[in-house]
Amino acid sequence: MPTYSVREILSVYRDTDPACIGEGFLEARRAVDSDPDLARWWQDEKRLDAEIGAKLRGAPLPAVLEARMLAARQRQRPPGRPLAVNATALLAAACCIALAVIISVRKPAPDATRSLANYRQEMVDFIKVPPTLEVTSNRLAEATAFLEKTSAPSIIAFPAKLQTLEPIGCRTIRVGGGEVALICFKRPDGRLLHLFVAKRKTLPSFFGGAGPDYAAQGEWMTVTWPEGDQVYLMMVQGDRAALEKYLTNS
Amino acid sequence: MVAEIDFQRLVEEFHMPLYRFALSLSRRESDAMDLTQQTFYLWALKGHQLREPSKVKTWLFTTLYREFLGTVRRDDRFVETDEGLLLAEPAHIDSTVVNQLDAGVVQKALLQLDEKFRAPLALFYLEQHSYREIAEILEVPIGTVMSRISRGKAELRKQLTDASERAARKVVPWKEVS
Repeated sequence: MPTYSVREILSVYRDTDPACIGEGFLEARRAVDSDPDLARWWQDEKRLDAEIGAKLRGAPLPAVLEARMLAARQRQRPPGRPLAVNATALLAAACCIALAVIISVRKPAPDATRSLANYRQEMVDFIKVPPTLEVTSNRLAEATAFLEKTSAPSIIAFPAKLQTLEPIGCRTIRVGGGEVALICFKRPDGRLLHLFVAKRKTLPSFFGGAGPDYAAQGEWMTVTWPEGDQVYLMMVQGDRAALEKYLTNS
Repeated sequence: MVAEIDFQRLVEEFHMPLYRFALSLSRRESDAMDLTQQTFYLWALKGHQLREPSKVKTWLFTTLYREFLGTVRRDDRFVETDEGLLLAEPAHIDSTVVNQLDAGVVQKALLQLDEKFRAPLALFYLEQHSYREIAEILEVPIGTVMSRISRGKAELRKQLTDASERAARKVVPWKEVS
C-alpha cells in the first residue's frame, strides 16, 4: 500500500471506533508499525486532532446560554421554527386543509387579523426569554448599519419620541420565510421596549387600519401600525399608556 | 419509554456541545441559541417518548440537525448522496501552530467550510461522536461520513494555515516596539 493511501486511511482512523475495522485499516496499521516515519507522522496527526478538538471546545460561549436553555421548558416555540413533521402531524394537517376547504366554500373571506394575532403572540413569546442580540450598541446608526447587511428592513421610520430612548442593540429573526428586524431600547425606568419591523410581504394577510392597533398579551402591551411597505410592532411590559407616549408621530 | 430525566441535568450536560454544533451549522450566535433552545423545548415536549435511555445524546443532536434543516430554504439545501469512501491526505500542520491560535480563530476556520464538511467535523471534534452516531444524526452512510471528515480535515487545515500566516504577517506598530 503506498504511503499516501496509508495516510488517507489513517486520517479517519480512530482506535476505539467500531466502524474502523476492515482490511484497509488493518493494512494501514501494519504499515505504521513497520515504518518509524509513518509512526511519527501518525502521532503528530493524533496530537493535531486533539489540539483542534480542544480549541473548538474552548471557544467562548454566550454568558446567558445555560439560563436560556433552562427557560426552554417554559417557553413557546421560537418564531419561524417548523415542527418536525411526522405522520400524525401530516394527518392532522390534511384534516385541517380539508376542513378549511369546506369552510371556505361557505365563508369566502378569511380572518386576516388572525395571522397578525399569531405574529404578535410569537414575538411576545420570543421576547419573554431575553433574546441574544447580534449587535449591542447604544448608537442607532450602528444597529441600522448592521441591518443593512441583512435582508430585514433597514430603513426604519422611528417614531420621533422613540429616538429619545437609548438603544441597546438589534438582531434579525426569521418569520414566515422573511427576516424581521428587532431593535431594543432602554426606557427611563430601566425596562426595555422592543420594536419589530417586518416587510408587508412577510405578513401578507396584514391589511393595516388607519391608526395604531393596540393589543394586550398577558402582562405585555403591543401596538401595530403600517408604514409604507412595512409593518411595525412595538411592545413593552406595561399598559397602553406606556406605549402611547412613544407614538406621537404614527 | 425513558424514565423521567431531570431536565436541568440534561441541560447542564448537553447545552454546550449542542450550542457549538448549532453554531457550526447556522454560523450565527443568535440562530445557534434559538436552535439549541428549540431542541431542549422539543425534549421537554416529546423526550418522554424515547424508548432507549442510551439514545438521548443522539436524539438531541439529530433533533437539532433536523430543526436546522427545517430553517434552511429547500432550494439552498444540498442533495444528500452516498459518496462512497473518498479520502484525502491532509496537509501537515504542526500541532504547535494550532496551539498558538486563539480558540475563536480555530472556530472561525471551521465555520468557513462548506456545510457538508462543517456538520460531521463538528460532531467529530466536539463530542467525539462515533462514526455510527454521526451517520445516524446526519442520516448519511458511514462511508460518506468518513469521506466528509477526511476531506473536511484537509479543508480545515488550509484555513488554519491561512489563519496562522495572517497572524504571522501582522505588523506591530513602531510605537509598541520602541
